[in-house]
Amino acid sequence: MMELFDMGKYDFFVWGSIGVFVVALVLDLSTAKSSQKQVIKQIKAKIRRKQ
Amino acid sequence: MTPTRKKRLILVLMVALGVSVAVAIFLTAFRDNIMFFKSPTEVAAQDYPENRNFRLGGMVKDGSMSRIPNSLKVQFVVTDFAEEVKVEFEGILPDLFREGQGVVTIGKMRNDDLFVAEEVLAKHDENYMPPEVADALEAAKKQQSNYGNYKQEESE
Amino acid sequence: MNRIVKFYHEMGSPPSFYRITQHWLMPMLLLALGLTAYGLIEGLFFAPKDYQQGDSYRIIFVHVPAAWMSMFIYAIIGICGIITFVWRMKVAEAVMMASVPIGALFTAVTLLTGMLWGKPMWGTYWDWDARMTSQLILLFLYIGVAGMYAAYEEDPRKAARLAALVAIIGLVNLPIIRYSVYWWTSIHQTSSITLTGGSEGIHSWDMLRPLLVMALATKFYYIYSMLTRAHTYLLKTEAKKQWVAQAVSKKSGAKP
Repeated sequence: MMELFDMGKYDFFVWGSIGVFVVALVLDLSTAKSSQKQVIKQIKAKIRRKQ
Repeated sequence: MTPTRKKRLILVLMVALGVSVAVAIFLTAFRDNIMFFKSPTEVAAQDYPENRNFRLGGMVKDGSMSRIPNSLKVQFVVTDFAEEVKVEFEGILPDLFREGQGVVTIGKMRNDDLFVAEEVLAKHDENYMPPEVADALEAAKKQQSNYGNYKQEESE
Repeated sequence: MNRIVKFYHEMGSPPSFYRITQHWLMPMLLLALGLTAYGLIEGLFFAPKDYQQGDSYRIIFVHVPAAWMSMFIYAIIGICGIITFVWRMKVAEAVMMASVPIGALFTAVTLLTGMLWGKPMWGTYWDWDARMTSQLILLFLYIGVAGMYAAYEEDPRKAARLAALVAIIGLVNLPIIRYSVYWWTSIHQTSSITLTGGSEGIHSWDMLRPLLVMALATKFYYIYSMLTRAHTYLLKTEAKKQWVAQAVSKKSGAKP
């Protein structure tokens, strides 16, 4: 199993790149979701205040 | 000035600053790396800057690589198949550096006949393939050139 | 034909755009995740080694799809910028601004993975060659578009028009990036795959397949991320409208 993850002497560079890619996508997903939640919360609060 | 206007001004100025920095970077890079990128033919014609670093690009000539004994220095010949320049370099060569491979070296000329490189970068082409395919291609190329020779002999 | 015209008109109006594209989110996310998993596993573990670069070439499976997305997304931003500027369409404003973060992120990923690939192969993390310099400028352009919008945020329509102007001017950079490797000789090699020339540089289907799968995966992810942000943008800028109140209350119905 371990030899599957072995990238010769390029472990740092290959896994580093994959890490950069994955971290970037997770970051994008979480910020997109959190800003959506925040805006929906604000709008709901406004609607409640009106009622 | 109102706080909004102030914020607006600062941000617009930052955008302007960013654009100018980008343009400045582009122009410097252009000047240093594109204008001062020389081939062995240009170097042979004395067309290179005297007292500043420039880039010499070409192929590492087959069989030209040698280590200078008792030092970390290596010597090799960079060729564009028309002219050749001898290059000396002290340091660690990149993994892809080998004879017959493209190379970009950064340094100065010494005495018109030796390029002293401070940096050596290996260049590779846009081809990717498994080793078996590379071997097969190589074999096919050889066979084809043999066949070509054979045909030539036949027609003579 | 009538249906296409109807669809076009519906996509131009914020409430129906919101209603229609809401159903696309889940499928897009699932496709993106599934294809990314497949592409990365195949590319990292099963694709053959390269004859010259060994295992280090596997960086291609994230570097090249990210690079394609960085330019593809900027092209969409530019087109939406033109629509915003000329026709003042709200949905185009939303798509334009929603594309900026994900495009900037893909640009940063391209630069970082390129550095991690350049060090072992070329011998340097960074070189001021035409390809790398123009890609760095693309990152500045993304930041410029976002910064311009932020400067006028309290008036979103005006902010969007000014951001669109920056985006349109920046379109010049796209052909420069694309052809930089042909116009100026330096360290970066020329393209292995092009739309017109096919995949001449990649000689094994087992290498090409994961790359194409990753290219698709990033497209689907972009659609998901962009739509999510575009929805948020429309909810925020149309907050006083009736449809927003309905859409928001429906959201709470589904998830208490």
